[in-house]
Amino acid sequence: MSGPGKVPESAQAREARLKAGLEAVFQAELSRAVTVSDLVVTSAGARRGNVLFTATAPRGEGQRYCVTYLPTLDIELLPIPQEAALFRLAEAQGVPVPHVHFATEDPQWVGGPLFVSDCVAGETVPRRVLRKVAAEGTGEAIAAQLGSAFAALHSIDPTLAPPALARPERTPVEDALARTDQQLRELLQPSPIFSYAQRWLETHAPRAGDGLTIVHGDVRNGNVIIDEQGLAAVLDWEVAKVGDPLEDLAWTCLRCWRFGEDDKEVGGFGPRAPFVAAYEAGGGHFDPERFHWWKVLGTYRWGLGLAGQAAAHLEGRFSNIVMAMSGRRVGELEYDLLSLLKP
Amino acid sequence: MQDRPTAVELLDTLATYLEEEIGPELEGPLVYRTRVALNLLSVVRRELSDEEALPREALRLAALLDTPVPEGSPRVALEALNARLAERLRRGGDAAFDAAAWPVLMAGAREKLAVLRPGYDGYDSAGERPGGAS
Repeated sequence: MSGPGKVPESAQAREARLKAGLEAVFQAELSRAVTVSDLVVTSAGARRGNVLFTATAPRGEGQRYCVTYLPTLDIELLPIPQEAALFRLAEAQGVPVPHVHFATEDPQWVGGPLFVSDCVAGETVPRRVLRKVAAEGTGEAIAAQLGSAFAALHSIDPTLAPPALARPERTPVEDALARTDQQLRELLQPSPIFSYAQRWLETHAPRAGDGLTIVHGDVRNGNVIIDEQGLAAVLDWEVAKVGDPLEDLAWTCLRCWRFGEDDKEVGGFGPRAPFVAAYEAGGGHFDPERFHWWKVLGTYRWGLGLAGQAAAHLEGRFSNIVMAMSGRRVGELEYDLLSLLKP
Repeated sequence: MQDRPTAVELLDTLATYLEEEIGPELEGPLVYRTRVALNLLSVVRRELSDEEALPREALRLAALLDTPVPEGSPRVALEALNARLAERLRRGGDAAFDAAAWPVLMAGAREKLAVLRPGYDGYDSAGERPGGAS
């Protein structure tokens, strides 16, 4: 285990430790003796690891799995066993998610909590996803599949949500406004456009909605697996919460997740109509005014987030060239905000 | 007055170096970060190429706020005007002022994009609002 002050271990040593840990945890959790091989790191984020691997029983055939784990105990947003419970809840309701085999908080296997799920085949890298979708003509189908997935997720009784899921303190709208107001005050330099947006959001805040649902919070290209049939799985549930279902729909439809396919409002995949039709066919209620409000909020929130990344870089909290350039992407979000708020 | 290469020419030289000499040697995450670095250079290059951007924006904001351009360098003047405008828009309550502010804000946003990401303003999200077209 590499802790503060220690020399980081090599990639080879880390892979060997992960392999041994996975073989041991298969034995402990599933009473299965397996050999682990063919590890592929799919996201080398600073915090979470996602690694695909093959587990092979003696004289058996190898099967591909995915392990999601934290290398240490102290950086969980949502405890991993609860995230795994959410996967199971979503799967039972018909949301496409990888099937979870087991989850554990025991740090002895890989240094922190982990869960093991099926490895779902398909593409996740945004620009490759969009090339694949264009080649296979699945864009409109994916827009509809996303609508159906949201309908299924939002139909779950929110009282069944894992207890660690964040719940609104006041209403989702009021909480969001309080948070953005705080971030607006913390900007390194005043932004007239963000100030305009904050004021607009406050004066146009929607009334209480149809009720609270489980909200994934980050469904977008990059957090989905796309195969030949379209949407194969929704990933990365660690910012899930209980909130306003329209917030979920709107976030997926922000321009910043279209990767240049600007006229395809639903994630760069397809237009709004099949998305909304599928959502309503699945029992969801679509309110265009509320959806618009959450799109403005989401655009603003992501702009504030990028400004925050630049601040983290400049203050030396998390410095690198990508974080620095985030500061120079804020202008894109300012332009999108003004377009959405055209008088 | 410095000798040539000018600042812009030096940036071009650095970009060529990164692209032609360093780039082919790289793999993995460094490829992505180097692409970000090249983008950074092109942003700085465009910013340096438009020396009139700051005074131009200061004049627009001063006109909107009905105030003279503050004393000092263009940057200092613009920071003061930006702070005043942000404060006034945050306070709100003046629909006529908000309506007058929107085109001024949009002009500034487009000028920023001309440096940051030319062409980004070729798409207009206004058509996505309830009620449709812009």
